[in-house]
Amino acid sequence: MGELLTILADDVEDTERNVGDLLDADLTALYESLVVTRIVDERCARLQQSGRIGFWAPSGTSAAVSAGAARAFEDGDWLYPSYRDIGAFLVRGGSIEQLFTQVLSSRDDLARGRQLPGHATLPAGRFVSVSGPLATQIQHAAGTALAMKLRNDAHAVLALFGVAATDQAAFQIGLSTAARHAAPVVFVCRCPGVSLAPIVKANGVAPVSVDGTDILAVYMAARSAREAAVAGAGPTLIEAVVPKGTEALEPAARLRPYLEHRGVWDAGREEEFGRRCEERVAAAVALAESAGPPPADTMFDDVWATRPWMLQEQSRKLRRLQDRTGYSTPR
Amino acid sequence: MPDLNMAQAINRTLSAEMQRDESIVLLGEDIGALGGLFGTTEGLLEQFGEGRVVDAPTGEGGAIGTAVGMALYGLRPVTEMQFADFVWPGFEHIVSEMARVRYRSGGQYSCPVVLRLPYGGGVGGGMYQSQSPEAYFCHTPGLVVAAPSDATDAAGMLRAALRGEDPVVFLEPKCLYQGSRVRVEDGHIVPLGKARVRRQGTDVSVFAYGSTLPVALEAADDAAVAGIQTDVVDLRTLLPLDIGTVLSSIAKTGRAVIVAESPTYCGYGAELSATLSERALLHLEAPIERVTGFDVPFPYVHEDYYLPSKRRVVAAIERVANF
Repeated sequence: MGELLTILADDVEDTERNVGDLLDADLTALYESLVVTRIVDERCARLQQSGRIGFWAPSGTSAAVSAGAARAFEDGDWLYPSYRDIGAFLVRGGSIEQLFTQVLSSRDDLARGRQLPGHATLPAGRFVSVSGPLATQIQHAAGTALAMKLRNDAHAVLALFGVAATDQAAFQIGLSTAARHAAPVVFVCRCPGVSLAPIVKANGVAPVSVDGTDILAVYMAARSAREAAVAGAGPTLIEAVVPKGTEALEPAARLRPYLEHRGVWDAGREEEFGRRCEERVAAAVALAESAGPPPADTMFDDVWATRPWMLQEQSRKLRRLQDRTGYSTPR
Repeated sequence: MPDLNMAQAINRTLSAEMQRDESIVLLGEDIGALGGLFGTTEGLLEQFGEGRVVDAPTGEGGAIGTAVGMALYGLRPVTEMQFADFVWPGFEHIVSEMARVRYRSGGQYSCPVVLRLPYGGGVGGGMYQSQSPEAYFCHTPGLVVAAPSDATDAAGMLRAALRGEDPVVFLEPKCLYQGSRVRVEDGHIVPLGKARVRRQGTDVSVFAYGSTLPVALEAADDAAVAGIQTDVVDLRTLLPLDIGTVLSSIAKTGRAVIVAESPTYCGYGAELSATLSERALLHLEAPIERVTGFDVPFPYVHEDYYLPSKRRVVAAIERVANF
């Protein structure tokens, strides 16, 4: 992977030279985000296996892409995630408790149980609600970035997506729209190998390829791209390479030797942090499951700004049926 | 205030609302220096500059997807298609995104885009410059779908759309753009979701909207000569329908003719007809008739046969009146 930007070297001394001005706090926060993502992933996989949730798209070995890129962005920036961006959700200030209200469609879910597990919304972190269709968010990110530019808002937008999105028309349209207006947006794509540079360049966007299991590389590339975007230099696409299958290195395991060498992490912290996360996740799951789902009538909210007559009527009909049969589950 | 045709009324309303609300931004192909294919954005680039009038960000799908991102950010984008027929590359953004942002975010985000679509036939445009796509959009919860039938309503309804909180598919009957000039008051507003009875009658209700409203009114004149008094209802907003006005009319007449340009099958008339059957069965004295386009792609040389003509509407009125 010679042509990829890599920070974490085989030799920790080489890594030391590459890390530049990264602070201890940055390093541990990045590492912790990988651990939390892994623990959430494992728990959600079990929830899916046991049939308690119907869908889960794991971050797996691409966890560093989501968390690393998101960490490079500031308050006031906007994020357009995919459904594999739990890492970014947590980095943007989403809590484990909030995440599981969404994953388990509890009555406390901001989006009222309307979306598949992992399709989170976090307005406080300007993390836009995850959309199912591939690549549409690439265009929306360009639109938000263009709006920022028109309004002289010195922030930037991050769009996250997987390589399958690059087969969609929205991918090229989003890139070329952003390039044409030099809109402040950074596109980050999880890729199994290097392949996108020609098409990215053809759409007027600067390509950068990084080792996608190296969270420091992702973070530093995203930070530079963000700075360039805010400075008016236009959009960048970061191709974050995460090889498929066993070739891929687990991103936390890759980072940990360097943190230990630097003296900011050790087996004790690992054990303690992991245990705290596990406990918090277990409590969040229990809380969300005990809360139960949102009332069925909330299904009719938020379609339009106010309920038109059809929805008022349909809501009444559903409620009458519930009153008559006393049923709490519809089947 | 001078008398205006529909294109001028739209232009003047856009200008007035852009002055009033800084967050309104226009997007679309050739809407800048050219002033739009039908002149509805003429002079707006000069008046508001490139920061408010953005020419064609990468095709139709691009203009619609970009508008979604701008609306999420907090702006009020108005995207103009040159023809409604060109909207399909952006269909996914309308149906899966614009219409669902509020819902899927639990009301945390909204997407108040106004999508201006010059629609319908009567201009010799053939199958790719003449369609009436309202049924596709009316099947989408979260959208408001509106079709004005004259300059006054175009101004008033567009103003309501620009001040509303929901995404609006605004269907502009292009055959009426350069129609008769009427007095349009500044600041005139027509709430979306309100129909308007354009002619009072007790024998037959004629439901029309957009481009078919003038046809319905002409047919009503002819029917009156034959002694049939029609109640002509301009639906104005198709989603959500003004059910109260529709039911009042049918309660009065018991007979209904629906006039629309789009194909019959699963068209807007089907919804209206089903609604009347469900809610007004005991008032009905005759089968509901639909006078619409045929179930064929919009034809070129046979356009005049395809479009609901006065003659076809009069014949339908007479059939239901004499049933």
